[in-house]
Amino acid sequence: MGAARNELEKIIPLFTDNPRAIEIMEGWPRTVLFDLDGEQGPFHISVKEAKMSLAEGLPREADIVVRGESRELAGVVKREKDITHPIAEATLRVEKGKLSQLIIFDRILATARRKG
Amino acid sequence: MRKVAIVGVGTIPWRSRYEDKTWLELGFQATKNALDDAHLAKDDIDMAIYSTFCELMLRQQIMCYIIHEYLGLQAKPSLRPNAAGAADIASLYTGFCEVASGMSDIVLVLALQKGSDLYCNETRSRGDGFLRGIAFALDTTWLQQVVPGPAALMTASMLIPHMEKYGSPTIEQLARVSVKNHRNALANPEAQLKIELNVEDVLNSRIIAWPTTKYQCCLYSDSAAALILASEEKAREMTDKPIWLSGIAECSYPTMRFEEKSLGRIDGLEASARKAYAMAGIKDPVNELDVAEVYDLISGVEILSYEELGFCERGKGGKLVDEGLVEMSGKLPVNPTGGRVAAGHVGGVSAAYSAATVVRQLREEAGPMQVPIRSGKGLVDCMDGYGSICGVAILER
Amino acid sequence: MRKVAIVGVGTIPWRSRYEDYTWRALGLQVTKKALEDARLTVKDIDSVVYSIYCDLMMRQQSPTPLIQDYLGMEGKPCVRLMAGATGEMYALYAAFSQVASGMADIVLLPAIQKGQDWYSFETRSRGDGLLKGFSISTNTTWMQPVLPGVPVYLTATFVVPHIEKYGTPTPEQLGKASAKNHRNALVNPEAQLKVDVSAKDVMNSRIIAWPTTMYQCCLYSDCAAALILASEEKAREITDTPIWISGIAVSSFYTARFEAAALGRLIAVEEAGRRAYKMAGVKDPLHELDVMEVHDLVTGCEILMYEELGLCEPGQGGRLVDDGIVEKEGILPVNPSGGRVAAGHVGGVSGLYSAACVVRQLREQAGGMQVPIRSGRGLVQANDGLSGLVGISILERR
Repeated sequence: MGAARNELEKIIPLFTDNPRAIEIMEGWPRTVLFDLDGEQGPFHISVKEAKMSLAEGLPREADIVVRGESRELAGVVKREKDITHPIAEATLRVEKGKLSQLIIFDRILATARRKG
Repeated sequence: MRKVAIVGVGTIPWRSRYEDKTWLELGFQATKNALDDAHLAKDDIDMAIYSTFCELMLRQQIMCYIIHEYLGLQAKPSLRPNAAGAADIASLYTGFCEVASGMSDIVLVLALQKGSDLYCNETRSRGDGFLRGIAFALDTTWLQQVVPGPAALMTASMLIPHMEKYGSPTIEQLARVSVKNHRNALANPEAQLKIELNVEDVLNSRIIAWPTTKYQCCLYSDSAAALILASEEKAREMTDKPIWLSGIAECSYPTMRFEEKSLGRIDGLEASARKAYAMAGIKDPVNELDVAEVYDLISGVEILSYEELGFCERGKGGKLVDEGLVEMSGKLPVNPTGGRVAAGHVGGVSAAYSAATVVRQLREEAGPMQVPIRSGKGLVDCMDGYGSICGVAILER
Repeated sequence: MRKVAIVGVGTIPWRSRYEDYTWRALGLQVTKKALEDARLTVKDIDSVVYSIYCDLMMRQQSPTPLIQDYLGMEGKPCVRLMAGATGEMYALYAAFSQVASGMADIVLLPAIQKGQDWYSFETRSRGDGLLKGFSISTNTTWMQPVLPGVPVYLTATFVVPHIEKYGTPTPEQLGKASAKNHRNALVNPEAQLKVDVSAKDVMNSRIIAWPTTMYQCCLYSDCAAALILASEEKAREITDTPIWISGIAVSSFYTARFEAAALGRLIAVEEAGRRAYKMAGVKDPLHELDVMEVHDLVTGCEILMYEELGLCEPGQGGRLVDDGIVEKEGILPVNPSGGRVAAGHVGGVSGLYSAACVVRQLREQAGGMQVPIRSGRGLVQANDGLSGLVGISILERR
């Protein structure tokens, strides 16, 4: 398992009872496919009914497809940097879907680290 | 406090809609006319004050910097006072303070509004679109849902309680005020509505809110008007006929006007008049004023205003109509331009227009509308459609 | 021209949303506080000048007649000044004129705005709802259809051309200036955002429009603030520490034309600054002012403002950050309240809040935020979201 998937598996449980995360996820049913260098293979994140889950492999259908470097996404998940930075540097690329949608995903990630 | 004069006025014709001009162009035209009248160039202006009652209708939330640039006044100061439909008197007040304080010597006061780029799909009418727009100026929590419109509100809270108390104005008196103003408008080249009416025509027109009928209601228009204010020193350099703003006042009153003391009254108007008269040293308005432009948003309001402005005792406003005192041939002509029912009306502009016409009257440049000028003093009043902000200005030669 | 002083201030904490108060209630709170501060009652007020930026956001067109009686100001003149997000400085100017001319002796100046009763369903965010609301303040014919947002406009029109010309502000300088304001806010009990971010945290936060990142953008808030102005005679009766408005100016310079000469320059700031300094007799602001509160809608603009306000030569603004001159311990502290990025921001209110902060600084009542007061002068600056409308005032204790 690469760095990004590792970090995501750690953070996903933090969304379960998180009201702010739930509020955002409620309005955002999406599937994001991550096909990253430094991972063993593609994996996807699904947000459905206000819950987020991670599964290996390709989904039936992806709303957003992200390619690039696993360690960059890991940095974003750890909140070392915001997702717009690897996007600006092209170390992560949105190959299907809109960046503005990915930013909502980033906002969900941010809720896990909010202090109060 | 320095003295403040009006040295230039610029007006354009009232039209129910200027389809081919943007609001910027209307403002530009009025400003140009005012600068020409004052023999000034735009660089002479120290500060611009913009009066617009409802910028939403212009589809532009912040309108002042756009017109400011359009007029070529970039980098100079500007202000935009807002006071619901009485934005024009508030702007004149602000302009007065600006010059009186010494902060500026020459100030442009530009009033503009386009209200008719709105449309009500339901009734296929621009007027109704406009009415819906202005309804948002009512308290949106308590009043907007239940008040059918300003004419109805004024009739119900001002006119009818007054009639109940004093038996006046009678419906004939109301009609006669409307007839007077429509007739006066025939001589006003800028008036929007030029028709000859008699009392029957007025009484038989559509009932809006009894006893107010259609011809007793103000028009809806697009227009612009500009005034150039100057300090005493500058005014004397510029013109032989400076018209002094010798009194000005503005007052606010509650919009939920259903308290006993406010029914049948336009209290803000009385309070403003009192302050303005005191400032101008006027004790007996009927004998000291040569002309008055009084807001007839509905004809009933014009008659009540005679009382609030101290032209007569309470309850006797209708009598002034019967006696012909307020006719063109009378002692104190009221609304020689045709007033709001016949010249034109849009909130935020009408009082500026009225001030411009009173300036012309006092300069004896009013053409066919000219009234005799004896004491050299005139009055302009202003109120918003719900009577919650009122203002009065006294102009003097 | 009569002299005019600020004799009372009333502020409430900045909050991202006051869910449980209407706009009237916010206005009442600050009015009460200002009256208490000045030890006056409603009867003492001659006239009211309001600053309310956006009717729409409060779902009430022409709100001011509807709050007059709520505040006990029935029957008094009321005027509301609107000038985008700098309406409050224009209101201060108009109120100043009323007192200076003699038309009023004591003027109440309430500023109120609720911006957060909005919501964007698309992004599930109040902030985005607010931004959409703001967009109708831009030129709806030419700009609104293409403008992605205020921070983008400011960055593209002012910050980036300036960087292209002078090589500054650098991302590090931007980070430091933003960190300064966030750090200052930690001791501001009314600040909305209290996070101790480093320059690095700022640089790594979400890119809004390079080089502007999230922590370099102003907050969105609900708030209100009120001032009470008085003529010299009344002021001396009311208080031992009247704070005089010794200079005040407004300017309107709309930069939608993107002319070369206007890019990278905050011309309206320079113009208004020059006039305000002249009126107040200030020749060397860096050494004659004790404190400044300016609108950092984006941090880059704060740095550009140092230059436009004559604190340094053009292109040298970043150096003031590096040298610590504008820090709280520096020669001329800028934004000890935390500024717009950390204290809070909503159009129509922020400038009056800044004025209240400077008043408290000059009175030496600023608590943890207090800076040394030597010459007894401070500057307040506010601008609208497009930096086309600017108001500046010099406040002075004598």
